[in-house]
Amino acid sequence: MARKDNGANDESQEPRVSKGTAGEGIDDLGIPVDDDVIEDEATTDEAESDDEATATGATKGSAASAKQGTEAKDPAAKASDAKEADESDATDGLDDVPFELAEDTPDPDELPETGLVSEFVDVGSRQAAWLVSNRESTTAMRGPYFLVTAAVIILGVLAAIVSGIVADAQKDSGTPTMAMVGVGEQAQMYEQQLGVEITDAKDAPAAEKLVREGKVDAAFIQDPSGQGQPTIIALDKQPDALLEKLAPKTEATLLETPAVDGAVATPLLWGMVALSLLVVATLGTALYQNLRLEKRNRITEIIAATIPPRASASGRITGMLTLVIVHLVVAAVITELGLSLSGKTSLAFAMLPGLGWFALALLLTAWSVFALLVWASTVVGSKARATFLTIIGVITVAGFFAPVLIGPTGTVAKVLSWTPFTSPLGIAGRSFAGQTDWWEGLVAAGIALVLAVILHALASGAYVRSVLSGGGRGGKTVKMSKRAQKVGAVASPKSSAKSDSTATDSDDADSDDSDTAEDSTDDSDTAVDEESTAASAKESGAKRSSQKSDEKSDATDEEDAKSADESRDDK
Amino acid sequence: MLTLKEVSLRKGKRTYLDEASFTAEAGRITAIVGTRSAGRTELVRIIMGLIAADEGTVELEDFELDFGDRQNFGYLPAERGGYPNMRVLDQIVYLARLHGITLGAAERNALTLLGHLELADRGYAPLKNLSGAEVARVDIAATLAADPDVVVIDDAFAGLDAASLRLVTALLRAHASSGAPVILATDDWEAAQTFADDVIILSQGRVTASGSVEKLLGAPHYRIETTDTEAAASALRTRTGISDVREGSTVSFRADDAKTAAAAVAELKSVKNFESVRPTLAEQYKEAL
Repeated sequence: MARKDNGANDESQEPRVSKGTAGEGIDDLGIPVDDDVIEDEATTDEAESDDEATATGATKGSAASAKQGTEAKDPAAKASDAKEADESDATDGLDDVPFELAEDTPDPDELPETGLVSEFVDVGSRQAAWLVSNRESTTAMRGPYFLVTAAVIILGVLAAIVSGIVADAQKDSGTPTMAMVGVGEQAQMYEQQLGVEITDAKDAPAAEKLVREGKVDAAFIQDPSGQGQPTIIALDKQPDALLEKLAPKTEATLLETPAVDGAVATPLLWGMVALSLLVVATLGTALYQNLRLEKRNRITEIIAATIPPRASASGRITGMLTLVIVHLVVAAVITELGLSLSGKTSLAFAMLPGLGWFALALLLTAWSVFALLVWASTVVGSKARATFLTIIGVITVAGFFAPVLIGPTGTVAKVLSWTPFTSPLGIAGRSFAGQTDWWEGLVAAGIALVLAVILHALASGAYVRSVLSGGGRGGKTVKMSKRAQKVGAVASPKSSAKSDSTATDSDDADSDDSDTAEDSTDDSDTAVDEESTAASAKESGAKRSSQKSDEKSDATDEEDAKSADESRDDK
Repeated sequence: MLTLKEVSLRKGKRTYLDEASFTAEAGRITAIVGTRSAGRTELVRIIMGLIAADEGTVELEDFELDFGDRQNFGYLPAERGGYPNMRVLDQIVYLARLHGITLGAAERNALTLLGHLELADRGYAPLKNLSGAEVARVDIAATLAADPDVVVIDDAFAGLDAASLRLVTALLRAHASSGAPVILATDDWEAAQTFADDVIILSQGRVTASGSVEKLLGAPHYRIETTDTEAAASALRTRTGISDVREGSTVSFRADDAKTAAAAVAELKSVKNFESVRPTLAEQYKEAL
C-alpha cells in the first residue's frame, strides 16, 4: 500500500512529515518500543478489570481509555486522578509552548520499524536538474582536473602580466626617437633639451613615412600655417616614453587605432586559446567520463526511474557550464586586477569588450560541446563513439585556433567571428583590433546560443531514448510505446494482432538505434541467452505458428549476433 | 498493492513477456524467480517504467501508472554500482533527494540505514574503499533512503555475503512491514523461498506459478525405501487419501495428512525407511522449467 502521496502531484511546497526514530542497529528492528507495550497492555487490561485499570492509570494514554471504559470508580482510582490533578496544578501559570517551538516527537504508533523519516517536497524538472547539476559540478570541482586547470589559468595569467611588465620596462629603457620636420642643425640642441633622439625629416609626409617604417617612435609635425597646435603622430600605440619627456604631455594621433596594442593582443589571444582548450577539454572529459560511469553502473536507470531523464541530461550540462563560468570569472578578474595593479588601467579597459564577448561566446560554445558529448555518450558501439568524440575534438580545437591563425582583418575573419566554435576567439581578436561594430558580438552570441539550444535538445532526446529503452534487450522507448498503445486501443481487436506486430517491428528499429547493448549485464545476457532466446522464440513462434511462419527467425538471430558483437566491442 | 495485468513484451519474433500478471501485496516481500532469460529484468523495467509493455498495465492501488508516476519507487537494477569516488553518505543522500525527500530527512535516513546495515563507520569513505559486500549494502541503503512506497530490486541477493544477507533481508522485511510492497527479482530460488512471503515463478516470459511460499511448496511428500517398490507403489495406489504415487529407486507419494500416510505405510511389507520430504521450490519448479 502506498503510504505517501506522490510528491510531484502535490502543489504544496510544505513538507509532509511523519517522523520516526533511528534504531541503533539491525537487532532493533521489529522490537516495539517499551512504552507502546505498556500502554497497549494497560488498555487491554483496563477493559477486563477496573482494578487493573486503576493500577495502570498513571500513564496518560491509558488514563484516557480508563475514562471511557470505567465510570464506576473505586477510591483508588479517584486517588490516582487526584494525584494527576495535583501534577497538572504544578504547571499552572506557565504558558503553553507555542506549536512552532514544540518538540516534534514522533507518534509511537506511527513509528516505522526502519526508523526512516518521510519528509518530502515537490521535485519538478527544474529542481531535479538542479540536483543533478549540483552533484555534477561539485564532483568535478573536487576532481584534480578542475583544480589543475584553475591553477594553470591563474598562474598563466599572472605570468603573462608579469612578463608584459618586464618586457615594457626593458623596452622603455631605451632612448625614444622622434622625427621633426625641418629642424636641421638644431636637432642636436633638441636632443640635449628633450633627451630624445631626433631625426630630421624634410616634410610631414617624410616624417610620417619614418613612423610607418618603424624608424622612429613618433613624429613631431608643426602646423604649416603656424597658427595651430603641433601634432605628434605614432603608428599604432602611444609612445609613452617619448610623451613623458615632452611637456605638457600630449596625446599622439594614431593612424590605426586598435583597442589593444597588437603586441599585447597576439599573445593574449593565444593565451585565450589555451584557456578555452583547458576549460572545455577538462570539463568535457569529466562530463563524458561521468556519463559513461553512470551508464556502466546503471545509475542512469535509477535516476531515470526517479526524475525525468531530460532534466537529468540538462542538469549535467548546466553543472559543467557553471564551472566554465567559474573559470572565466577567475581568469577575467585576475587579468583585470593584475593589469590595474600594474598601472595598465587603460589596457584593462581596452580589453574589456573583447574579453566580455569572448567569455559569452565561449560559454555558449562550451554548451554546444557539452551537449555533443552527452549525445556521444549515448551512441552504441565504441568505434562509433570514438568517431563521434574525434569529430567533436577536431571541431573544437580547429574552432579555437583558426581565428588566431587567420588574423583579425578580412572577410574570413569576420565570418569566423560570427560562426559557432570560432566565434569566441574570432570576436575577441577582431574586438582587440578595433574591427568590430557594437552589434557584432550580439550576433555571434545569438548564433552560438541558437546552435547550443538545438544541440541541447537533440542531445537530451538522444539521452532520453538511450535511457528509456530496453537496455539492449526487449522493449522500446516509453513514449513511443504509449503512442502505440493508443493506436492499438483505437484499432479493432482483430486487426490489433497484425498491427501490433508491425508496430513492434518498426519500433524495434528505433530501439536498435538507441540500444544500450554495451552494458555488461546485457553483454553476458545477450551472449548467454542466445540459445535460451532461440528456445523462447521457438515457443512463441509455435504459439503463433498459425499466424506467421518462421521467416524472420534468421533476421532475429542476425540482429542478436550484431547486438552481441557491439556489446563485446564496447566491453 | 502493485498489480501487473497481462503484461506482454515482444521484440521481433522474440517474446520477453507473455501476458504476465501478478500482484505484489503491501507489507509482503514478493520474489520473482526464474531461470536466466525468463524475463525478470524486463518485468522489473516495465514495473519501473523504463520500458513500456506492448500490452498490459502496471497499477498501484488500482491506479494505472504512467511515465513519471514512480517518483517514490525505490529501484535497484542488476549489475549496479555507485559513484566510486563519491562518499557513501553523499551518494545515499543524493539518490534519496532525487525522490523529493528533504536534505535533512535524507541525511537522517542515510545515517539510520547505515547504522542498520553496520556501515555507520563507513559513511565518509569513498565507495571505492569499500568491499564488494559493503557496496552491495550501500546500494540497498540508497534504495531505501527515501522511504519508498514500493521497492523493486533486480538481482536482489547479488554481492551479499551471509552476514550482509541477514542484515539486508531484515531491513527489507522491516520496510515491508511499514506497508510497502517489496519486489525482489532473483535467480536464487533458495533465498527467495527463505526470505520472501510470496513467489512469482517466471518461465520464458510467462508466470507459471504464483502465491505464498507455503502454498507453492504444497503438502509434504512421503518417501519410502523398500525392497519391492513395484508392489509398494501398487498397494499405495489403491489406498484412499493417497495420491501422486511415483515409483523409482524409492516410492514417493502425497497423502491427505500424516496419519493417512503412516497408516498406509504400516500395511506395506519390507519397508526399510519412511520419511516425510518437502521439496524446495527449486526442486519442484526449477527442474521442471
